[in-house]
Amino acid sequence: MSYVQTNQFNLPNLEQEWKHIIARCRRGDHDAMCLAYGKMWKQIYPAVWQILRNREEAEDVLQESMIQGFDKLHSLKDDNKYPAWQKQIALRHALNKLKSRKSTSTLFEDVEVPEEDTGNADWNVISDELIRKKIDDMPDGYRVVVRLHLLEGWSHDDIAGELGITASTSRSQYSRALSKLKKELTEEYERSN
Amino acid sequence: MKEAIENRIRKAFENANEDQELIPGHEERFEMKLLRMRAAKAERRIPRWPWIALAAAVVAGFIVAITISEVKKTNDYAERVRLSDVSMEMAAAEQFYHERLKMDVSQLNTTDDNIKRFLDDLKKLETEYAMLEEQLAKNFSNQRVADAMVNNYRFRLKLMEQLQKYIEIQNKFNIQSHEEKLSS
Repeated sequence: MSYVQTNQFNLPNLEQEWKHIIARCRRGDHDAMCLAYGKMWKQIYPAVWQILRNREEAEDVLQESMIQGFDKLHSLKDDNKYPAWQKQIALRHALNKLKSRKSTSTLFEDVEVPEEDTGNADWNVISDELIRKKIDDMPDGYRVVVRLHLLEGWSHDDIAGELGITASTSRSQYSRALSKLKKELTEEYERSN
Repeated sequence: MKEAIENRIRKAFENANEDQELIPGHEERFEMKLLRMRAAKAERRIPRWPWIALAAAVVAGFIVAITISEVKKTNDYAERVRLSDVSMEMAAAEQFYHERLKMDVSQLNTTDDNIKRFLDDLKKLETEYAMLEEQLAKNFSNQRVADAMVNNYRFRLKLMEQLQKYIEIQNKFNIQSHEEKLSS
């Protein structure tokens, strides 16, 4: 049962629960920190993994950013925003890790822009799993921008600031990524019909 | 058209139990990392000894006359002074920490890097403590040195607690792995 469903019956309130856990983490309570980690990793790990595409590195980033978050709790104004705030720290940490692996210019190297011809393809018949795999297999620059802009809601200005690129580069990477995906999904559709 | 593909991607990720799972044992690894990082942080909080020595020297300049008579009265030949020599309160503090810091470390697995680091940290703190005892012998009325000695005990106790916690987690982890091996 999802948490949203649980709340319809006025069972434990997530906001209250977080407030309680955060207060304990601020006091340096070891068990509360482990509890926070247990509640957060499923929300953060997939995004961090998608940026880095390496399990060990993604685990390190997740764990180190959680500990970094505990150290910075004094700067968190609204405890209810902790999950989103913690996720932002982890994403920034993941981007730094990615940048340390590759220079920004390599990260955003030009990839051939595919022709956009989607015909009458119905992408709804293509499985979610295949779409996720197609995104995972994209070049780093495409994949990262799709994750951050479309799924995490970052603006192109934010992405640009974090990666040291211009907002227009972020926009063009995004647009190319969507074109590439459209082309590949259309091919998949045509193959299956 | 752009919106259509964006919506399709969002839908593919919505409520998806995204395929990536963490490597088993990650919670135990997180707990160990947390303990290590917090121990390192506690160590960084230890005051800088050269600075304390300098401050002690300045304070000593002002109270040198009193100090000399006090030290002579207390212990003419002492190279080190114990906390318990300073006051009844300090004696109680020393007794309190001394009792709690008793731990047989000879049985510990020193091939484990983390345990080795804990023991190295404890050793460093013990060395610092001995230096503080020498400083206190030279400047008996220096409250800051006495406070530093209490803090030194406090940090050592904290490290000891963290070491015990680490060993507990590791034992739990080893038992789990052993049981998994037996059942497979």
